[in-house]
Amino acid sequence: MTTKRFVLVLALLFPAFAGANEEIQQLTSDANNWATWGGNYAGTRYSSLSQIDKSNVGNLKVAWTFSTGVLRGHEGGPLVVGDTLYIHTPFPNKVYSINLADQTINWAYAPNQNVDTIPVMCCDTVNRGLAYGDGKIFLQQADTTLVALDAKTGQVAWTARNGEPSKGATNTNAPLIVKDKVITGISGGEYGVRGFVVAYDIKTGRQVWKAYSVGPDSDLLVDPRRTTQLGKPIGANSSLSTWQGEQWRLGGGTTWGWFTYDPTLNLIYYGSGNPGTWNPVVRPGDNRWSMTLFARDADTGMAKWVYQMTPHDEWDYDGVNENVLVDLQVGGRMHKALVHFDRNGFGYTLDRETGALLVAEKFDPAVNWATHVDMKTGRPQVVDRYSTHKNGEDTNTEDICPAALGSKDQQPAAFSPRTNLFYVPTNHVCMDYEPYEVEYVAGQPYVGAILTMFPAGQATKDGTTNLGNFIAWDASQGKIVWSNSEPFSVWSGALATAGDVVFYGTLEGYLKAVDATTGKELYRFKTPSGIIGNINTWTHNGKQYVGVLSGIGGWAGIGMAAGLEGATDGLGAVGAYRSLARHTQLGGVLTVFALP
Amino acid sequence: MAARRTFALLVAAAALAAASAGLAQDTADAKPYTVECAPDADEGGATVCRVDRATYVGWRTFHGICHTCHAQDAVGSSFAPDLLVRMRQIDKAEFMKALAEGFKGQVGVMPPWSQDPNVSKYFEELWSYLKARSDGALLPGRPKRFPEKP
Repeated sequence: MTTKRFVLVLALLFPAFAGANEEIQQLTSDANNWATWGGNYAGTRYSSLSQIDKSNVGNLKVAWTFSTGVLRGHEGGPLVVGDTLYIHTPFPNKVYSINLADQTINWAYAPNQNVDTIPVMCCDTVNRGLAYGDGKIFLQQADTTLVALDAKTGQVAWTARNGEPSKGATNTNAPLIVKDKVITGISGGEYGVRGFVVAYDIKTGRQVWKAYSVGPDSDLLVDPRRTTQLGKPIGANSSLSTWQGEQWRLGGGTTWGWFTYDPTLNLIYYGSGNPGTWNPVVRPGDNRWSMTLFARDADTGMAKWVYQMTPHDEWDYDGVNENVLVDLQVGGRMHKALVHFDRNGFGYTLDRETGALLVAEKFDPAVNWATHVDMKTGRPQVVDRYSTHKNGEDTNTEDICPAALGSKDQQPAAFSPRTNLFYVPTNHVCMDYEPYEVEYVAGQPYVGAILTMFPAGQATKDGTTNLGNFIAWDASQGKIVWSNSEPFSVWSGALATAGDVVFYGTLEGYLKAVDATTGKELYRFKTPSGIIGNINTWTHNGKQYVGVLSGIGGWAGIGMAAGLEGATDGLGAVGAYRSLARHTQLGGVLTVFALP
Repeated sequence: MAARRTFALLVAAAALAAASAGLAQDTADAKPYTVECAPDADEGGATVCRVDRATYVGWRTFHGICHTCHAQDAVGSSFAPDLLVRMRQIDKAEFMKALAEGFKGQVGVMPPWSQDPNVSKYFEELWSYLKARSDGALLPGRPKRFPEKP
């Protein structure tokens, strides 16, 4: 109630800003809610709640559970606003509003989507969750329909069509509400889809601005003189000049990751994905602005700065992972920083106001495709041996680290201002990669590379077999502080709390709580299925709860077989097959924990 | 492409001839593949399989496209079946029909591949590769090709 009154007052005082901004800032500054995917606009996934702390987390018990009724991979996590919890599912993208008082269903929404959407989703039919604002719940359906639901009734307020599934465009991302706009992206990087970010009017669903990742300047929403990369203007035709002929039309740079927002700078932050085909030989040039971090004005979409992390990608290192906005001391100076753990294995710290590159260091020691990032030019120094372009088409480039699924994929990290550390769920997987000629046909996979993935230890020859690590990272220094080995990729979003506890989930299905300072395990519970969802926290009636979706799947659901049955195991090693299927099976369930 | 099919046929014919000539096994079905797995000095003594061209092309097509759902080595994922098992349950006609027309499974949906030239050219080769895998003749991992015959 007080929240609503406060918003009303703000709206009266500042009619020009009478958007959802203040509402969301207010909701997210109150730790009793979990009102946006990252807990707040900065995407820190940190909660100031401290009832559950490192001394008592060992007593955690399951408070209640809820089956989503859907199989396949469950990414994202629940939103909590006041007394209501909102949860989503993978395709067919059901939404449930749940009354926290008695866990009854207030309303359910079940879209009727064409099943032809399913096979054009590259890596399972995941959805990364909902957004709340202006009394509505926003869902980005797989078939690209963006739908606004009345948060009280579940009635459809409006819908907007965002892309064409018959041409391979789909959606998996969670939208972000900024002022009077709904910000969303597009998936389809394996189908030659040209990526964009788009803002829709929160009241009507009318398109306000749309900014492509690749193509002519007019499509990019850039100012050649004022949009900068590492402080320098990008100039005219900054994207077109880095593609051959018309290849930019199939140029990729899709935008299926997370969005964050700095209300003071009025900038939204996100990254773009892989350029067109995975065969780099046929698309010479830097392929801008694929694999790029963007800072865009929330009102106009105009890019303030860009930074291309992996020019001319040769490994499928999508740049879509989350950008966490924190203030950090770097090199003796405080910065409004942006921290990003890229698929390419480098942890980047940038100044989020200027786009200046401050830190770029490997967050998995196995990373070998580049020796380092040149801090002057921002370019990774690629090792010839691992260059799939130099080695060429129809040549198998071996032992590249990381694998295409990255040292980290979409699973978002958490940041605790109490320890000044980032908590990062990571993959420890390497690959062989062989590019080959592929023909583009609309709506058909446009990949053109053969991949084989295996545990990083197979490439580093250090005798390890783990496929993941959960690490603590110092983003000021670019250093790993501690690292917990996990048998499988850690594919769940982390949560850090003022109780100095960090939570994450594992592919076998464990919810784990560890000490934020040391990484020591304090609690584990085996949920009904493997966890690729994000762990969120909230209160109800003054009591702290922690909730997570389990439901194995996603790219992890394919990767789970990666390297576990390798050729080198030989005929006699059938017993060495350590499939994840021995640990867990499909099924979406929300599990909610509390102290007794 | 015609050349590849012809080649595959030749291999199959050769296998059939070999089987009927020397081996005391039933000759009703020729294997659509030729596979030899042995320790390989170049790979540090690890077992490596050498395969005929059709099986190799099938492996390659599979790991360019099909593996995104059916996973590496066709072992299946959380949303597409283990083809090592499924291939023993269907005959070649059913296999070809599913590839061409698509298939709605219990969890997943496979699109029709007849419209995708990156796949439709290689149905026979996929048959060779997947039979070699499901028969247990071809081990997981990247196979090598037999040296080209002069």
